[in-house]
Amino acid sequence: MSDTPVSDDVLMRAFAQGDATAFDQIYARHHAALYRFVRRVLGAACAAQADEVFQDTWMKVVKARATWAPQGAAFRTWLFTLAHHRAIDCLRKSGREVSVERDDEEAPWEPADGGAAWSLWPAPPATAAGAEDQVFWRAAGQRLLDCLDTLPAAQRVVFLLYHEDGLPMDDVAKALELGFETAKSRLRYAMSKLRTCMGAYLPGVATDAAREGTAP
Amino acid sequence: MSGELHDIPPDAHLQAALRHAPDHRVAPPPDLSAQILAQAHQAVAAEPAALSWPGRLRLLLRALDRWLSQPALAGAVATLALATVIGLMWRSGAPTDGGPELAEATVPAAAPVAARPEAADKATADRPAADAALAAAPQPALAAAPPARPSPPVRSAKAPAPQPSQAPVTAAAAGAEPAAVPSPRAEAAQEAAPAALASASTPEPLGALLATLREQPDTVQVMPAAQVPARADLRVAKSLAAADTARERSVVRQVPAAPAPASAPDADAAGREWLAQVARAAEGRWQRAAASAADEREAGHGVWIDGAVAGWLVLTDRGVRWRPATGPAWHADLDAAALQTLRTRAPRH
Repeated sequence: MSDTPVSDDVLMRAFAQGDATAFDQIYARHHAALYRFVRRVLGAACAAQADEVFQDTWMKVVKARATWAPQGAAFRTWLFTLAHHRAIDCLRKSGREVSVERDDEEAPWEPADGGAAWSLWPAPPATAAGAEDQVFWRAAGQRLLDCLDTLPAAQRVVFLLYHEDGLPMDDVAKALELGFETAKSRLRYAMSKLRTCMGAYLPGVATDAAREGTAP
Repeated sequence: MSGELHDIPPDAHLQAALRHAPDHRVAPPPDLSAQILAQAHQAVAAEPAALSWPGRLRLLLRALDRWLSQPALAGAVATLALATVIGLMWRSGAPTDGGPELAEATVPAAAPVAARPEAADKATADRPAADAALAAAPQPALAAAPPARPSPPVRSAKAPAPQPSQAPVTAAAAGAEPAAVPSPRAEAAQEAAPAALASASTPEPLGALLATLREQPDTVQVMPAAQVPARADLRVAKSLAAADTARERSVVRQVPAAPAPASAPDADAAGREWLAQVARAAEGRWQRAAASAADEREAGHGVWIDGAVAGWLVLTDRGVRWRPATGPAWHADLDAAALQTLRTRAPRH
C-alpha cells in the first residue's frame, strides 16, 4: 500500500504549507505533458514563447498555492487551464486568430463512408509500433502537427486535451471554462478537419513512409 | 453525462499519430526546469503567506517577539502604551472630579431664576442641610434685585426658598412707592423681633419697628449715636437678622452682646415717642437711598430692640434717613416744618 502514489491534491496542500519537495513531485509528474501541450497550442508561429508560457504557468501555481483548493476539478485540469489562458494571451498578442465562432457555424465535415477514411492506414498500434510502422506513424505524427497548425486555437486546445492528455470531456469543458456541448462541438469540428487534413495527405504520407522505410 | 462523454470516442488513428509525433518526447530544457524549481523553493522559504492560519499566527508572534526585542522599539511601544493609559484615565476622571460644580456649570448662567425651579430644587436637595438652612435665610440684597435679573445657577438655588417676609420686598421692587402695609410675619412674630428687623428694608422700613413699638414698647430704645457702642452690637444684629429658626436665634443670642446703654425710663419713653413721630412723618415717603459715605452712627440716633441695634435714624437737610442694621438705606423727604419739629424733639440724653 505504500506504493500508492500521493495524489496531486495532497501534494499541493503540502506545498501550500511550506513543503517545497511536494512541488518537486508535482512538477515531475506534469512538466512533460504540460510542456508538450503548451508547444502544440502555441504552434510553430509562437514556438519561441513556449518556454515563457510554460514557466509563467508554473509560477502561477506557486503564487496561488495558498488559495488553491480542489473545487471539483483535479489539479491536472487546473494546471492545463492556467496554461491554456496564458497561451491564448500569447496568441492574441501575436495577432493570431483565436475566435472560432465562424468555424462553429459551418457543418463539420464527415467522411461519407464513416471510417473509410482510414481504410488505407495501418491499424493504430496499441503502444509502440514496429519498425516499419514506426516510420509510418512518425511521418503521420509530423503531418498531424502540421494539420494542427491549421486549426483555430480553440478547437486545437479541445482536441489536444481530449486526445493527447486524456482528460474526460467534462474536464475539458471545465478546463476551458466552456459549456459541455460547446466543448463537444469544437471537438467534433477539430476531428473532422484533422481527418480531412490527414486523409488528403494520406497517399503522400504512405509514400514518404515507404520511401523512408526502404531507404538504405 | 458519462454516456455523453462517449458520444465522440477518441480517434485511434489521430491518437497514434500524436503518440508518434516528433515532439512527443520533448521536455522542457533542464535549466528551465531548474529555474522553476528554484523559484518555487525560494518562494516557500521567503513567503510564509502560504502557511495555514496556525502557522501564520506562530510566524507572526515570532516576528513580533523579534521586533519587540529591540530596545528602541520596545521603549517606543511602552511610551505609547503609557501615554494611552494616561489619556484614558484623564478622560474618564475629568467629569468625576468636576462633580456637582460641573453639573451646575452646565446650566445656562443667564437663565432667569423663576424659569428654573426644578434646577433650583435639585441643587437645594443636593446640598447639605446646613447649606439648605443658609439658603432659606433672608437675603435682603438679593431680594431687592429685579426679579428678571439673570443669576448664576448656585444663587438661583437659594432664591426660590420660601420667604414670606421677602414677598413685600419683591412687590416693592416692582412698585415705585413703598407700601405702608407692614409684613404680616413681622406683625405676628413677637418673639422674633430681631428677625423682623430684616423687614426694615421693606417699602415701609419702619413698619416692623412701629409694630414692635406697639407690641413691646419696653424693648425699644432710641439714643444718640454717640452713646451707642455699636460695632459689636451691629454684628449681633446682623446675626440675628440672618438666623431663621428659633433654635438658631437662641444660639445667636448666646453671643455676648454689648449691654444696652443705661437710660432713664422717661428718656426711653421720649425716645420711643420721637421714633413714632418720625415714622408717622415719613410714612409713605420712603425711597431707596444710595449708600452714604457718612457714618450715621456718628450723626444720628441709634434704635435698639431688645438689646440689639436695629438701625440708625439721621435727620438730614431734606428729611430723615433710615439705615437698618441689615439691608439698604432709605430716605424720606420731609417738609421743613416737620423736619424742624423732629429736630427739636430728638432725644439728647
